[in-house]
Amino acid sequence: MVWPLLAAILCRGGDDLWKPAGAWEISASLSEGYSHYDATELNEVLRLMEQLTRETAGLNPYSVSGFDGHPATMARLSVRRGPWTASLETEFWTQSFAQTDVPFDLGDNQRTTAITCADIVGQNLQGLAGCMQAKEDFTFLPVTLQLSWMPQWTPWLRAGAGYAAGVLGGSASLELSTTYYGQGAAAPDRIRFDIVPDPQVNPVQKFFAEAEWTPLKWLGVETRGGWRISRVGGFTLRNPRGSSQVFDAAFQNPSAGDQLWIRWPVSAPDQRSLWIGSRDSALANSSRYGHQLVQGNFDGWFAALSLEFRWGFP
Amino acid sequence: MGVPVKIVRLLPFSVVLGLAACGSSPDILPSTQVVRASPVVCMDGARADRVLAATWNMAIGFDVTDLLFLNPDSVRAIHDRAEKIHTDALGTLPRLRVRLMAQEIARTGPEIVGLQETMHMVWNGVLVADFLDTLMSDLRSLGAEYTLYTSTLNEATLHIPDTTGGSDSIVFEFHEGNAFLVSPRWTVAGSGTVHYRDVIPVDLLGLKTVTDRAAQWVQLQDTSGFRLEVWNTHLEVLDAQAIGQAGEFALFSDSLRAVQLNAGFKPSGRLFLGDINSQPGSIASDIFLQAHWNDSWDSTRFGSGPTYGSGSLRDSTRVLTERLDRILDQGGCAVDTAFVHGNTAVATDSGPLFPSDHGVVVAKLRYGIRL
Repeated sequence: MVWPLLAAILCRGGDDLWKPAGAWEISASLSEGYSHYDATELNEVLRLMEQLTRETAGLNPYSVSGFDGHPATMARLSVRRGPWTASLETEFWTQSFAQTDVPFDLGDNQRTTAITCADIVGQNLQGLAGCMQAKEDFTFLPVTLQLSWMPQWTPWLRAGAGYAAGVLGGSASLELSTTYYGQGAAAPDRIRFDIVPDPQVNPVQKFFAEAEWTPLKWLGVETRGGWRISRVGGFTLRNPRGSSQVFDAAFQNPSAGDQLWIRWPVSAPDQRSLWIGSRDSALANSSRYGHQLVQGNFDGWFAALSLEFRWGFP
Repeated sequence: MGVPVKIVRLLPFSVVLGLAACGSSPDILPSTQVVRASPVVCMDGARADRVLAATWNMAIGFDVTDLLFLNPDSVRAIHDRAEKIHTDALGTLPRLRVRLMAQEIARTGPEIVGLQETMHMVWNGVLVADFLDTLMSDLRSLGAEYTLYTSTLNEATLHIPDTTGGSDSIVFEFHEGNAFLVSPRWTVAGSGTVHYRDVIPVDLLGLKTVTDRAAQWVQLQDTSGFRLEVWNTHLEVLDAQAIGQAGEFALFSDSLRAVQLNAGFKPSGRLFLGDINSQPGSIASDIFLQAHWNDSWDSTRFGSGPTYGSGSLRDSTRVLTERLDRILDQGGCAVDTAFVHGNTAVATDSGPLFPSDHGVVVAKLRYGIRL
């Protein structure tokens, strides 16, 4: 039933539906939308971070809620002839996270209640304590070449579908500043480093359906939705600047080139934990631990609304 | 005839769709295949024999967190922290504590003892404590004969420069570790140490290093043919590392057993003595149970059986609150008894004093003997 119906629709327009004929059209558009994904492993990393703070000395217990997408801005340049449009599109995935005033107290490492930095400053501390400020910036740019088929069904409506292929590149950066308290405590320290996917450029593909309202010759309003396939793997520490005792203690003196892994004891595979180290170290420990390189799985749906400005050429 | 042609034109697009759906698989480094022996089970119906075993954490006497988060550039800060460690260790009266431990061991008479935190500390050439040397001397004087098997860990000699232009430089020698006391009943057929890989990075008074933790093992046999594989360990104080180390132990102890079986050592049973720094019901504790190690305390007692408490060792009101120390078995047929001693302060010339911040856990276990 479906195929004959589809075939009938497609055949009604004859060659006009398929031939790249007629005037050329150039357009530029700007979109705002939302990109959804599961990011299963990155969310597991967040849960394991929560577990690590629970199992480590005196950090505030907290619960993570995870994340499953973010607002996305897109810019696109297109050339259209007949029903066919070729485009170059850039998305801007940028976001900043900050955790301010995160206290820890080694003298109270069984604590199940939260404290603040103000609670430990100026106290007669039994052990060593500190206060951390953490900031993460996240910038990824998927750049795709797109081909879409979108006939002009009525004078005011275009609709169709398309495919995009390209690359996803970018990095995140983390800055951790710590002030230590207690007798003989370390001087304040700060570390900043980049977290870069390895490989740094990864493939991205998109399939989408779109509809454009064309009330004016030079302006359209387009809505687009679809599915994206993209994975970013091998998050690697690069360009460390400064140092941090608390970071070194939590992650066993990580160094540039180390990667983010989830690992588990061979005898207890359900006990997964976060680990930062080199592939060589992971292989050296493989008689006791299994390792999984953390990947960012950004497969998921997206939806966007855009304003499109057009210029026609006969 | 136009319709089929146009559908055919769509096919390449479908192929692209299909190919794109094939995502890359996760990058997993599988663990190396390790040959492991299956658990030892009770030789029920065979000739039975018993062993009286004990485990005791001797307590180094200072807070290990004093080693962390020091200003590595401040000699004054390092100096002060070293002084505090020295003062705290001296303040727990280590010489007297070791004597109390020796008296308890001599009185109870275990045939195998696992010791942890076996400290040796020398401050500017002056011996502050050598737990094992002193313990062996005291045991001999009490008529208790034991052979000592040591596993030295966290060995360091720190040279802390002068801070006043005078003469307050410090040379601080330290190590601790695990040790077995083996009674004359046994001949030791083999012994060794396996180090853990999940450890904690520390700035040891300004020196960047990692903690050194290990599991020590001995193979015991007596003249009747009773053979026992015994482990002694002390897991990290932080849960994250304790869980990893428990997992490592479950693996390497079984793989070593496989090697020893091939070499001809077939134990009647296995015994675990140690401080696992984890309470019953915790993940690390459960990893041992899942690896078929039975908790001798649970087999015989109903109480919570605390073995560790915080507070001053010279405070007679101090109580033990957490069960961190274990005697576990594999292949045991029954546990006759288990108890904790050293959990009350002893009156000494220097006032009330606990032998350690841990009590000694003792258990009598029955094994079937392979004939």
